[in-house]
Amino acid sequence: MLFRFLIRQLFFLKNSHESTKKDEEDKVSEEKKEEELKLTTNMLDNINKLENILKNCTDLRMHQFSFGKDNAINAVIFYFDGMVNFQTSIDSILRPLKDWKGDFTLTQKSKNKKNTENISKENLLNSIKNDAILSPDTKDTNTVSDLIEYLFVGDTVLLINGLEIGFALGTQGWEKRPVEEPLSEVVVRGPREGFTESYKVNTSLLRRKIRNEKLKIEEIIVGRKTKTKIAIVYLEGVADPTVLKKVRYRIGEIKVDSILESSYIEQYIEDAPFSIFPTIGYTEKPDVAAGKILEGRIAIIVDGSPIVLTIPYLFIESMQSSEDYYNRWIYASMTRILRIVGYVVAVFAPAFYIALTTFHHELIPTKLLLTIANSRAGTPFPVFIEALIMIFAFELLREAGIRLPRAVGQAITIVGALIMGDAAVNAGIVGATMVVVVAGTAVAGFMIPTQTEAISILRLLMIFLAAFTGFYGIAMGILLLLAHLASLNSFGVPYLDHITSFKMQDIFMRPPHWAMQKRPEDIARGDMTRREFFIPPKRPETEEEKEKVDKNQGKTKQQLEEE
Amino acid sequence: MKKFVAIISLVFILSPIILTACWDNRDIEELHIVTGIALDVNKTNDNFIDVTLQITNIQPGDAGKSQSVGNDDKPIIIKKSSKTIGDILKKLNNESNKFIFFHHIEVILFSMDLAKKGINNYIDFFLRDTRSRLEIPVIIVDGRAEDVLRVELQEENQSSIFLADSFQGAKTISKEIHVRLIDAAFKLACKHHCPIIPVVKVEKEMENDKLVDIGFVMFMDSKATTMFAIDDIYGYLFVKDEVHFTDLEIVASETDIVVLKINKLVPSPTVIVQGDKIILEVGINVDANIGEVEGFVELEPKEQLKLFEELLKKDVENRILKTFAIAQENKCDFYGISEMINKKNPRAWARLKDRWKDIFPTVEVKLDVKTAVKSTGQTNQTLEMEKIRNDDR
Amino acid sequence: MMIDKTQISGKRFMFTVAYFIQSSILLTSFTLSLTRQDSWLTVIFSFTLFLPMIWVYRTIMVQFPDKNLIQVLETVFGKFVGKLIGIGFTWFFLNLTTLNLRDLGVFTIITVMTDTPLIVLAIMCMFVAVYSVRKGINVVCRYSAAFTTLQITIIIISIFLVFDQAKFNNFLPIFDQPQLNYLQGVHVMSTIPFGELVVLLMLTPNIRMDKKLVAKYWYIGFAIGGVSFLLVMLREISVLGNLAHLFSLPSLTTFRLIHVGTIFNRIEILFAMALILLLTFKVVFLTYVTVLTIAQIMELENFENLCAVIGLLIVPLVITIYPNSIENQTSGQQVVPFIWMIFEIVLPIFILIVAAVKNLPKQKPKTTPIKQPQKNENN
Repeated sequence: MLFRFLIRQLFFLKNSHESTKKDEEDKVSEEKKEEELKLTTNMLDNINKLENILKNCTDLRMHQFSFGKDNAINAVIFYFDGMVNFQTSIDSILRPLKDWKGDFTLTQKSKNKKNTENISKENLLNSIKNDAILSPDTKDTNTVSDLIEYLFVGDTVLLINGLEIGFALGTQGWEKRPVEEPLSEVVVRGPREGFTESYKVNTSLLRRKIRNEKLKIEEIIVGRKTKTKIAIVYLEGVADPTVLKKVRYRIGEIKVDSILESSYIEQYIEDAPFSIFPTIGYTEKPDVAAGKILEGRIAIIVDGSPIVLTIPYLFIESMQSSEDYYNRWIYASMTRILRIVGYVVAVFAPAFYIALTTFHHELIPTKLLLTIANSRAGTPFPVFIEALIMIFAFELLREAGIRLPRAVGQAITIVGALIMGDAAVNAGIVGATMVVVVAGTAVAGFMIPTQTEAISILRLLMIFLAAFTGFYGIAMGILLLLAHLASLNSFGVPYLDHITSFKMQDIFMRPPHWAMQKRPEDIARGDMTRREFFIPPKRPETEEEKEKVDKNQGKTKQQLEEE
Repeated sequence: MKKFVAIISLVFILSPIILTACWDNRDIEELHIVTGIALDVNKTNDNFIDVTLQITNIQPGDAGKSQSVGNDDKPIIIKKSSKTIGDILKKLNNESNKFIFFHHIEVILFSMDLAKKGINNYIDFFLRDTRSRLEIPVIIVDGRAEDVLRVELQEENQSSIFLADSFQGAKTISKEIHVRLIDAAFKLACKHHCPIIPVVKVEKEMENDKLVDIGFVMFMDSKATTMFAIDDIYGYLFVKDEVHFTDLEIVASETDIVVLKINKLVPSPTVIVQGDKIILEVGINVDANIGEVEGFVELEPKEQLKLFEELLKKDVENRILKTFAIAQENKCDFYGISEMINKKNPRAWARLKDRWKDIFPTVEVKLDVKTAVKSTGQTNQTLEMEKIRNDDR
Repeated sequence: MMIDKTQISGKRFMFTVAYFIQSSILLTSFTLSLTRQDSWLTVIFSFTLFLPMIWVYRTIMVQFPDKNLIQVLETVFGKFVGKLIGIGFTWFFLNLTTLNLRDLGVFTIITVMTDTPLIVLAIMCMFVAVYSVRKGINVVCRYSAAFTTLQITIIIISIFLVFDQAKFNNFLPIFDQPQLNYLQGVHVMSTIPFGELVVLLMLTPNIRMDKKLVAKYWYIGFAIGGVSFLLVMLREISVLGNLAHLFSLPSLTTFRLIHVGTIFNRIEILFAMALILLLTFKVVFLTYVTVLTIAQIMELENFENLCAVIGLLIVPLVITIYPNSIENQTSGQQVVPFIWMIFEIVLPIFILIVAAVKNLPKQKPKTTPIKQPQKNENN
């Protein structure tokens, strides 16, 4: 069975070019069908067309009514139940139409019947648009497919007998999650807003952080069946135009059925799909996203997902967290160095332990060696197998812990920890030192959330290499890893950009805010200064500063002008 | 198609590597951790040597409980004899159930008889072997070397760890007292410079066995000759390198004894060559404190200090001269004067080196000792002095 | 025509030069057995005597700014003769790679005391090398600055840790050895660690820097490498003294003697691992140069598929080139310096002379010797 699976996977590589053929056939047939369905002046005809296409969609509701003088004009509205706010549709469609005192009928007689019909249709149309419908979001169209698209977005569709144009009015009102603190990025100090699944809310959150006319939001619709709205957000003049072009091109090239989450976009447009390191970052907090946009990065908002992507993403960003910038710089630098050391511990600790105890006994001081020998004297497995068992058990716990209902979760984790730790040691299955090492690695691995997948895989790889040739294997593994990182590019920016270049700003130490006056060089273009460089004045104040403070009671020029 | 073929061939090439055994992979419980090695002359066959190994005994105790190094476990001793060490190791490996692991040897012991025959070959083995460590002490044993490994001490149940620890502690006195493998090798490789190596003996004291440092032995032409007592080593140390924190007992008369703690003694030896006459000039600076005073009751503390300085100076000079005389008597240059001449004046040395054995006994020593006794400790008079001074209480 | 389209900056080139020399610190045993306690003098002498050769390399680089060494040979000597000499250089680079990989493997086997056969270590190293070389020079040289700093840190830390065992009168007596030994020592030292810098001439089209800065980068890089080499030599002699020439790996022995307090006791393995990390760079770089040379001679479009083949070729060469380590040492002292001298010293001077005689390079109509910095690609 496994063999067949492997053969099939290998054949995927051989036949990978065949899967795009189907897309083109579908598209052609779709385009043909679209042309056939256009609205006519007969309302019943249109209704039939709509209902035929939306057969068996019982949440499609229809409401026929008439308005105008003597209730002469028939109209019908369509909407999807649950997606529409009744109050808005009443306020913007039904009541204004009922109150409309238009005098037009379509049966006025005149010499040139057609002309009159046309003129009267136009007048009716204009009048309805201007006077009757009171929605700030009005669209009109004459194809059925457009109307259906608008229905799916939550608009109410208005068809009027005699007009071959249908109106779609924005009346969205469905249940959505309120803006609350995201569970995955918890900070002690900093704003606690998080993105939600609603596209409107997300764009508004970003708009409120950056109140500048250069913040551009471009909208694209992707996905044949899901028709998801995707927004590219960037700061014009600071973001790199080549990266922008690439992003637009790659999103445009996505021809798939569905986009359910922003990670779908991430996996379609990323630079190195076969690598374990992510080249596109994500965040759930608007202040983090705004910070990245201000540095020259590009954010991608996907409707239906609270996770916003940021492009380009460099390795060093996984070591930075938003709290670094809200804490003061000395402590922030300390935590950052701690995080980097934790990353190294998380990847290499079990491998080092295995290499030390199986290959390089001479590195351990004699007394410690005798202690370890005593503690391992009764255990049946070699160290390598022990490490694999413990890590497997830990991964089981972690995965199970995510899906447990919250009430039971606490109990199970405690029991699990007790079982893994104490009982296994007492039963003699694993040695005590191994439990300590694996616990340390596991905890260290959680310090950096975006890299957990990379850490788990690398940890296993290093364990295998260490069991194979000890420190030499680990050294070769490190070199392989470094070579891989060096060859990764994130949309043209090298992945290890600021670490190995000669301008390191904000890597190992978070410099004070007043010292970082330039944006990172390879990411931003154009407007490179983010602030004027100034060293905060010495406090207590010098004579000069006292004078400035006293003069004009400390008010700035701007405040004086206002007065 | 190309990618497919490439991947399949890669899998086939790499799989033999991954599926074969790991050559060097040894778990700790598969090792016999050797802590001490002793070489003796075989009792029956003069050409053969006995090699005894002291191995830590690790019993699988209560599974999983981490114990410290078992205090009740006695070490395992195994012994074999053959002509070369390599042969012995092969035989030992054949007979034991675990792999004999040399990397943690703490001490190398040679018996005096073996030292008298010459130990250069065996030191060579230890230098060549990649598994030995170069900073372990080399010790000569008066008697059979294996007795030292078999002795049961009170403090520590593995005597090699005991010896290594005590020598490590002795290093605080002076660096030269601790003869490491590399120092011994260094000096044995010189033709004219004789190394001295500490000697240890097993003594019994009231049913407890003890390991006693009894002296140092001199090596002439790589063979051990005479031994001198442990007290004479200070004469050597005072010239070679700095000495810290050692006590000297100076006996002025029957009732007056003073013990001075030397804080720091810094020698600066130089060699002056005038034709065939060689003078070793040593300038020494001593800082000392008073450790213990017996007697000297008539003197005031100030005068006492001055007197002690004089006594110390004489004592240091005497010691140095005595040890130097021992060296000259035995024509054994363990002070390294030949090296000093070579380094400063290679041409003079080239002239002298053929006749070194005759010239060495004529070397003069000139000493320039400056002593200073700094502090008297917590008290500055003894109780006896108190009694005599204030006899109205 | 550039086969490898990636580029590196001038500063990175400087650190590559420094790093290249620092990676050869394992080879101190060659000179230590010749000029025992005066080996540091040998280092200083060969350093000063090699400075003019750096100037020769720099001139070749400046006169032919977008041709790598093989292309220079073809321009100066004509196509046929140039390709012939190029094949000679291919043999030279292949040998260099093999010898360095063998040194690395033997060092690992002796230090870490593996019973692992040499072929496994060689295959692992070549795997890493081939993987790095496929992506171009940028990946290969990316870490040169970081690793140079790491190497210097290791040297300084080890000097501090060994300081209390260093005896400064181990340097005396000076000038004790026979005169010929000094000459031989200088010869060996200038061809084996320093002379291998000729491989950097293959990188000329890939470097972005001004003509005026070329000399500065060469000299500063060379100085950094030379100073670290000198420090290492001083450390070895002061600690090991008399016995330095006995050991086949004096650096390792020095590390073994580190015994500060109870913690810094047996850390030679850590140092060995750091050295393995740092030495692999040389192997990777030389593999890159070999592959590039062969690709250039055969005028291929890209060299990615060639890398694996060359990697597979080098592995059996590593095992079969010398039967034992004594031959390695004698060959390194007696045979190799003379052969290397042809490729490292004689041929570059010859190239310059012939180029001056033939009045090359001809003035080109468009002035493109100084490259525009490429945005957004590499740093």
